[in-house]
Amino acid sequence: MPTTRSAQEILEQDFLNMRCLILDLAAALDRIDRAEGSETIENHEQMALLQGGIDLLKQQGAGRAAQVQLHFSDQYEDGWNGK
Amino acid sequence: MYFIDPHVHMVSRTTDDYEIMARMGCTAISEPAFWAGYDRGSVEGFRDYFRQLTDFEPKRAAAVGIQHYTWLCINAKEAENVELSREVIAMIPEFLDKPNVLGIGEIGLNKNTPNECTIFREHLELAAKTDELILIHTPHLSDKYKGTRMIIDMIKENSKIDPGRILIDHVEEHTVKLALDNGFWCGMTLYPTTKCTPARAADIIEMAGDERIMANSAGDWGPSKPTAVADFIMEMRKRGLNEAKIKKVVYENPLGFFSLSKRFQFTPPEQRGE
Repeated sequence: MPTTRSAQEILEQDFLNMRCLILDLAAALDRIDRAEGSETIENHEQMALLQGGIDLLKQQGAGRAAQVQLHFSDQYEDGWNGK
Repeated sequence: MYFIDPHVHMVSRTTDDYEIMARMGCTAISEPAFWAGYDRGSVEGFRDYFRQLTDFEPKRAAAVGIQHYTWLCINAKEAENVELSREVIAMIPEFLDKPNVLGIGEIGLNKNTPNECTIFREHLELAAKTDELILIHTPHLSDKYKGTRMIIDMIKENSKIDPGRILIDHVEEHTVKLALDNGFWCGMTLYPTTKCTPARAADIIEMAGDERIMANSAGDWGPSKPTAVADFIMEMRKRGLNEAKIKKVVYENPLGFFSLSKRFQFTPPEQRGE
C-alpha cells in the first residue's frame, strides 16, 4: 500500500516531532555524561548498541526501522531445533 | 467507526475502561490468557482464571454492549514450571465448549528457553487435536526476532497445524514479513512506552499491506492504553487513508480470523436491538 502523503507533506507534518525525538535522545545521552561514573561506561555493551543504532539512522533509503530492530535483536541460529 | 480489539487483558482493567472503549466504538474484544504478574501456585488457580474469562468477563463486557471472546492456555512465563503447565493443558478441554472461547492462546515464547519450547509444542498438539485456532505471543524487545523464528520453526514441525488458523501477535518492523510470508495472520500491539506506537503501526500497514493484519492495545496491568486502537484509527485518518481500508484492519480482519473458530457467533452492532 503506497503512502497517501508526499515526502514534502510528511516532512512538514512530522518535522517538529522528529526534532523533538532527536532532542530527547541528545538529552538522554547528556544525562548519562553528566552523571557520576560516566567515564566507566564508555565501553559498556548497551552504549555500543546505542551508538550502532544511531549510526544506522544515517543510512539512506527505507528500512531503517527494521535494521535498527535487528541491530537490537538476539542472534537466531539456523537449525537450532535439529540438534 | 466500530472497531474490535483482538488482544486486550480486561481482567486487569476497570469497568470504566470497558465503558470508554465502548464509547469510542469498540464493539468486540478478545482476551487471551496471560501472566497475572505473579506465578500461580496450582492448577486450581488457572481453573478459577478460566471461569473468570468465560463467565464473568463476558457479562461485564455485555453491560456496555461489547462482545467478549477469549483464549485459554498457560502463558510462556509460567511454562518454566513444566509439571504445572501439563496439568493446566490437561484441564483446558473442560472449557473448550464455552461459547466465547476462540481457541488456544496466547501461547509462545518469552525468553526462548527449552522449557518454553516444550510447553509451546504441547499446546500446539492440543490445538491440533481439538481443531482450535491459535493465538501466539512473541517475545518483546531483543528476544523477539529469534523467538519469532523459533516459533515458526516449531509450527512447521507439526504437519497437522495450518498457518492460516494461527495469529502471530506483537509483530513489528522486523517480524511482520516473517508472519505474513509464512501464511499466518498477525497482530501489532500498541503500547505507550518501549514498544510499537500507532504511527509505526500505520507505517507497517503502508509497507506490508492490509491483508491478514490487525492492531490491538494489549491493555494489561502494566503501562498500556486500552484505547490504543482508537488512537491508531486517528493516526491512519491523519495520513488520509480511506475509511474502507481503516475498517478492514480494525474490524473486518479480526472478524475474518475469529470466524474461523467453530464457536464464533457475532452480532454486528447495526443489527442489535429491536
